[in-house]
Amino acid sequence: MPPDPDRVLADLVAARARPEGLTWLDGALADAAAGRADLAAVFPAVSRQLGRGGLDAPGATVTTAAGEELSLAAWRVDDAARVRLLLAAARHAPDRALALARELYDKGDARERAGALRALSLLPGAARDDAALPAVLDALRVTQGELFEAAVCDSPYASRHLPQLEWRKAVLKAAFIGLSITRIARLHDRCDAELSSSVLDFAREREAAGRPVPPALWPLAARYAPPGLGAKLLGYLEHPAVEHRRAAAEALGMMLPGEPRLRPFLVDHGAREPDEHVVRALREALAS
Amino acid sequence: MRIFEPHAHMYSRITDDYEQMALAGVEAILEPAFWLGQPRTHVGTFLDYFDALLGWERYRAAQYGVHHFCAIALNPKEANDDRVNAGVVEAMPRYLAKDGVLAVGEIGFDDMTPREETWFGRQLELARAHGLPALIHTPHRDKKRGVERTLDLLRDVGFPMERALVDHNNEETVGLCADTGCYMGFSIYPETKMDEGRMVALLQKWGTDRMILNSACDWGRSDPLKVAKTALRMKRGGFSAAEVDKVVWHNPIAFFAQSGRLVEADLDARPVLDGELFSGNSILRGQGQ
Repeated sequence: MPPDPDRVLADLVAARARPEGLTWLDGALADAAAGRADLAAVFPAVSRQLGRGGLDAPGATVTTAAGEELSLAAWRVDDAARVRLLLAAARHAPDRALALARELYDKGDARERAGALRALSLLPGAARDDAALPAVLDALRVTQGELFEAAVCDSPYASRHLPQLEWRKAVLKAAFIGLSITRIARLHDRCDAELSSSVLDFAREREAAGRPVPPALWPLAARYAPPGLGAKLLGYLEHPAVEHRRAAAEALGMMLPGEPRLRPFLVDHGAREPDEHVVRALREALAS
Repeated sequence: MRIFEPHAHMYSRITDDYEQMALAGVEAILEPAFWLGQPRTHVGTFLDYFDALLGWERYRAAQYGVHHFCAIALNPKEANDDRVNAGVVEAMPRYLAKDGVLAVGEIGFDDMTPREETWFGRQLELARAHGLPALIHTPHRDKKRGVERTLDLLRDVGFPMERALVDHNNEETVGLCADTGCYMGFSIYPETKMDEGRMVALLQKWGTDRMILNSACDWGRSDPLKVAKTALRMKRGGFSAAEVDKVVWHNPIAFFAQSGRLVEADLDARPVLDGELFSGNSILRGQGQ
């Protein structure tokens, strides 16, 4: 059994907030759990009481009721405290939890909104209730990296409930603004031919502009490999950056069953590859 | 030289202005709510504007390492408009609770109508209830009488003078404010209100206590670098670096810190820009933002 998310968050917040702030939070949590608190009035004070700094827990995760693991690497102390408040309110009124999160998003400033968004995957009904989807859609449209990131990255809720068109746009926007697409849940499960093709177009655009291409694009492009991808990936197998060679090896491995002609090139490169991670990726690719 | 710009309407400025201000030493900006040049006819457009001050403007500023704060209010001009005045003030408490809202403002008199007086007084009560100081606009026309009536109203309602920043002062009004204990704001403009040379003369005559400079830049002819330019003129006029710092940094911080929501040491850290900073693999960080 993975530990209770609220327990994990409580420990992380306790390690980083001031004692007065923690006393304040305990009172607010008790009120929320008893249905006595108007969270719209409590949410604005959270950052002032507990701080705005990072949780500084790069390896920490929590597990949702559906068993999805969710990274806390990008969370701030106030995010974690606001999620705890929503979890407490959900104990009182579980059926209203996601609707309440949406309401708090609507009334919140950027920090409050980020907190509401980060809670979604952990609230009761996250697997079936799309009541908070309008908040996610709103955050996808804003030009505030902070909100977009909280809506889409490390969020099984977003990847479960976003319609396919919106979800594809979210993946592309994440890549476009420099967020790692590997932080998007169900990335490969929901990828379709259109996304593979859009991702390759985006990579070409970046290349033409002489701008960096995120290596994480390659396996996604290879999911429904558009014409020409194999040759491009063989080129990236010679790239000076290890991450590109590794991602290209992984992507080529996905393409091999459909394009066995690629195999000798992978064998050839494997004999010359200096980096052990890439060598391992090639070995796995050739074994597929 | 670090500058706290205590009155700038960045909503109406382009992003390049944030960069220019940052280059000139501006590390923090307070943006008071005002009117938008054209009357609004719905309460909702005010609320969207308040949300922009709390969200989008803060984000734009953060891109240049500038901390963005705001003041929320029904402005004096639109206090005269019964389509919006009551609804906006009714919605204000929700915003006055927000992080980064350091004052109620701009409130005050513009044409000195009974409605302006009603909503000015009502919003002073809101400021008191939320423990916030008040940023107070004074009229362009008949300014001296406007300042007198402002000070009278503050006294009548018992609003603590040290928690009031009476803005847009000039040679004729500074003497009215100097002995009251209120903070005195001066909007340095290219043509109207106050210019750098006159400002330095005023500081030489009246001293630097509770004196606050701002550019009040908006969509009109105005200059977001006026505080930096006036600071330069102060140095040429013989003021020490410590005196300059007092006027352009410490005085505005002392005033807005009365909100309990501004800690000077917090301004040393870079403002929040995005959620990627703590994940250890920031691409944005790599771009030197």
